Amino acid sequence: MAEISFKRVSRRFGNTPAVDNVSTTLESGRFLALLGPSGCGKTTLLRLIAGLERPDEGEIALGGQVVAAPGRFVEPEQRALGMVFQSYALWPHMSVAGNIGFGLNRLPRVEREARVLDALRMVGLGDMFDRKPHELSGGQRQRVALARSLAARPRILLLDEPLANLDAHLRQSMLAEFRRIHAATGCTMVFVTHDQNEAMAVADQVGVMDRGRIEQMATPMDLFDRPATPMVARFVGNGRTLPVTVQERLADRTCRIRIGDRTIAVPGQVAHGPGWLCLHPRDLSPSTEGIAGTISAVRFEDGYYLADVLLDALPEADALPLRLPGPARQGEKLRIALRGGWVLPRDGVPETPIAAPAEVRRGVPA
Amino acid sequence: MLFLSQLLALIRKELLAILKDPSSRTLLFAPALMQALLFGYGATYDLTHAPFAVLDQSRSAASTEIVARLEGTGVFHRIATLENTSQIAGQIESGDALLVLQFQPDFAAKLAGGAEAPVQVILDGRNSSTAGLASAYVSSIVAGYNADQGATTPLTIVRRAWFNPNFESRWNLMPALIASLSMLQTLMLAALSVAREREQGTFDQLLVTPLTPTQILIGKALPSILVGLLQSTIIFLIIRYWFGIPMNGQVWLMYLGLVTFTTAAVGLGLSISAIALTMQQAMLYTFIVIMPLMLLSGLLTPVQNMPEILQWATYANPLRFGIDLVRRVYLEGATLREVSFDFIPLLAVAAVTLPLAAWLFRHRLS
Repeated sequence: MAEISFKRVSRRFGNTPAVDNVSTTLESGRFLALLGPSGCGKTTLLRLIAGLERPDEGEIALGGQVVAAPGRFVEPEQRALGMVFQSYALWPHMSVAGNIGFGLNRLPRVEREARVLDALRMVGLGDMFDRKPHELSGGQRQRVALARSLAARPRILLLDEPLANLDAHLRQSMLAEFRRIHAATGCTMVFVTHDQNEAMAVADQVGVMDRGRIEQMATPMDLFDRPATPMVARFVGNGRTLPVTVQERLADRTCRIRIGDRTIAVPGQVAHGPGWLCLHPRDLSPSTEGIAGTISAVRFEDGYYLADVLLDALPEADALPLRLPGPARQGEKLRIALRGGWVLPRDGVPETPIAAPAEVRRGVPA
Repeated sequence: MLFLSQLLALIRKELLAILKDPSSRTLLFAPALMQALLFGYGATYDLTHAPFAVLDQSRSAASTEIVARLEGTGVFHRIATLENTSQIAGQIESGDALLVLQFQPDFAAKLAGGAEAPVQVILDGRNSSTAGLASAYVSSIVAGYNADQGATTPLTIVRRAWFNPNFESRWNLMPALIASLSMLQTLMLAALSVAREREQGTFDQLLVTPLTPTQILIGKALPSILVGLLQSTIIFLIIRYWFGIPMNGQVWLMYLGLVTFTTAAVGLGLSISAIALTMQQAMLYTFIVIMPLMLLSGLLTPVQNMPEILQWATYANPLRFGIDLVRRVYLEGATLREVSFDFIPLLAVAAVTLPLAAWLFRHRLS
């Protein structure tokens, strides 16, 4: 119900830029997930929207109204937005209904009570209004927190890692809940998470952040198929980047590249020169034909044998994750067929690989 | 109207947080009750039991009379009768006797001859205030004896103590407790209020609700002020009716002073709270602040005895003026005009600390 727009916004803590010259626009009614490794600035970006942080530079507008700019600042209580925190942030001594109705004093009593009940029904806790937070499970508490922010009918709903304290099963059901509530309310939602499965499952747009910048804002599918930067290519979906040479840009939106002793055509729009070949597990399959490699490690995961394969032609590059139908030994030779992938230009300076967080490395190959 | 109803909701929430917790509920009443009784009985400088020894080398009617008068007070108890001067040191050093009374062999002769006849009083100076009291007491008894003997001394000193005719130190100390004991709790309560919400993660939630910082400030301050006044009332009732210390002034004026004083103390507490990130920090800061506040308050030692620079520092100490105001209204029956000066520093401290706290809610020093 309200567009969010950032123009060259920066926020520094000491000398560290938490948000670095970010310009972006989120259309009204969209559901955006901000995704990135710890300390990438995603929560600061969210707090800037909420008004809990003031930008050092730049301009923020919500629904066309400038809320933060040099010499202008709209306080958080006047921004008509809801926020759900990782820690639920429920007041322990107040009942569920008390917590939800707390910000609604401007309404007449009858309407306030109706709103509280509505919000509780929406999150599936219609009969819990007189419970105390300590009598609820973690998932129920987070639902109460969600109901509290919904009850105020906000234009924008901000969710700061709301599922981080919940177990995997509850996360799945809450993700579905968020989607349903987004559809029902139509409000603009921003969801911060470091878990890309969450981000892609819940949002129609995902902004990948790194070192205070938005590297790419796109649909989950585009992040996979057409990563904008090597960081995104590596961060999203257990991706790998291999240094290759682009020989020629072809007419059908592909490039001819040379990898090892082979020449293949891969999607991408890169002119002749050094490039990165971005690969996900889904782009790779074992084959009798293909590029030669050696298995450097094998583990059993999600019903597959997952091998790390070093290409013989690029022994210094990332190992590629390859799903195998059966067990294999370390040191075994095999061949890999490429289907898909994406080519990015490689600038003169070699990119330092970005260490993906542990949960990303463990992530299910898409 | 809206401002008020939102404010009431917040005050209700704050009071719930204080009252719903059994441990903090006990803290509201028990310490005030206990400390008032402890101070009343324990912290007294009054001379109630003074053991002494006599070395009477004159063995005259006059010396026997003086010793008898001393024992007749009920305060002085003779524990030893000494034979020679070498025994004096032992009595004092062992702490058995607070003082030793020595009449020299020519005491009676000098007295009869109209010359000055000294009575030597050796005191245990390690306990200076008690020794001072004992010495004064002995002097007054000797003076009384002189007077009865037909005025060899033309001048007699008549002491008449105002406001506290018997010089009971309890009278001086206890009205000061009405201000100082309750400050301990209100400062702590206020200091914890914001820090608790920071720690629970609910403070950001409070900031994004439609409440203004002014409302948050008043909502946080009023419950602490109420609790402070409640504690003052408990202490006041104990002093007035349990210890029976008569009140000479107007109750309304004392409460007007207490409201002002408590507001200043709460402002200080909320500023501490707004700076602190955790409850532990808030506690620590409170303890760091409370000691100098107590020492520089005139509770135990008169401000006039302090070095000038410290005397200046006491102008920033609300406790100094809180104590002064309560003492003077309670004991002297001072009027509003007479204590109006005390209100100025109190109001000044409140006028600085409360807006500072509200500002710090938003602009936490990072």
